[in-house]
Amino acid sequence: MGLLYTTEGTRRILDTLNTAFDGSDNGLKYIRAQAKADAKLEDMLTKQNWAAGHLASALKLFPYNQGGGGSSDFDTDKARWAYFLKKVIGSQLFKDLKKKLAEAILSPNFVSVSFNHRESDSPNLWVIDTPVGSNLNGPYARQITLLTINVPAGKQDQFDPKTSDEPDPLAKPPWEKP
Amino acid sequence: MLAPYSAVKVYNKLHNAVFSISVPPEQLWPSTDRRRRKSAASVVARFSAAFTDIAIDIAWDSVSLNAQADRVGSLAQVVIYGGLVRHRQIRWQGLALAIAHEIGHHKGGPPSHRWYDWLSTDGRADEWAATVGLPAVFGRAAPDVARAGADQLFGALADLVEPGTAPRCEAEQPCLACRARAFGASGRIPSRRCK
Repeated sequence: MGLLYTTEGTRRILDTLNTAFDGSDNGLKYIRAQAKADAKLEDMLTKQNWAAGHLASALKLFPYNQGGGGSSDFDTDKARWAYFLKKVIGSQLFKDLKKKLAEAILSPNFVSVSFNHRESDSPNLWVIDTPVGSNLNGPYARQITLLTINVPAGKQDQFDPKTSDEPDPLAKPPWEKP
Repeated sequence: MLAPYSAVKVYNKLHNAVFSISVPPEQLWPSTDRRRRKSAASVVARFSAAFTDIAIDIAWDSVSLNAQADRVGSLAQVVIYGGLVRHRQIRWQGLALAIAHEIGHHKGGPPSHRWYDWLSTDGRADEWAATVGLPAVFGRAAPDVARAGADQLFGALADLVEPGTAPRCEAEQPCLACRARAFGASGRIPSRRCK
């Protein structure tokens, strides 16, 4: 945050994530309890093997327009989310992000996760763990800053349509499939 | 269910929304433009001298019309993106206002952003820029710098924001028109109806 001008899209994403993983309302604690109660979800987090959009599906975290009683265009918002994860973040960064998220969800030594974004010449992930009290061994508040490149106008065609062998990023998590 | 790769089209609309607004190349000076670099360096130097604990960087090659206050550990940073500093409508006053606003995020104090207690809200950062940041650097000329800068900065942003996509006008983040007016800008900046 701290932007001169925060776009609606940025705000939706960061507000959705920061609300869900907040410490003051026990957000992260609630997510952790969900994971402990669902063996398949816990297994996915332990193995860090989920595809883009699947953890968001499982936790029902999509940056839809929360004004006006919910979005009338929810699938579009889901599509944006999945596409962002897959194409803007990319596979290596996504792998790192999964590791840091899974760690924070599963370990009781984390009380909250906050999310931020910066533009950069190259994609990267900054993770800062700050002790919440005076004990340097935790518990910690984790701050994840995602650095992505900006896509200049006119260069959008580098995002090619999906090939037939790619998984559907909007599909339900594997255990929810019939 | 939505066909997955209508997402391509969705993304085309989205790229201006996540995370910043890209400026078309014809509206930008080249990143190597000497006069622009000299002018920007002069403005940055004045703020750096007045606020020695803030690191100010310019990402010249970026095309985003934005600026950002951030903390990396204990280091307080301000980043100005190239789409702002190279924009043909934004002169030194607009750059000065942007830097003052971003330093205001670090030094403005409460009210703080709801997720980051070190970060002042947009409204407070603007207020700090007008009452503390710009006067510290430009003295009695600060109101004129603020007025001209707001016309340049918010006018350029308003030109690129698609109708209906601007954030709502809230105390934490006022809309472009309200922010411009608070600095005394006189240019017409379209916006939604504000409270």
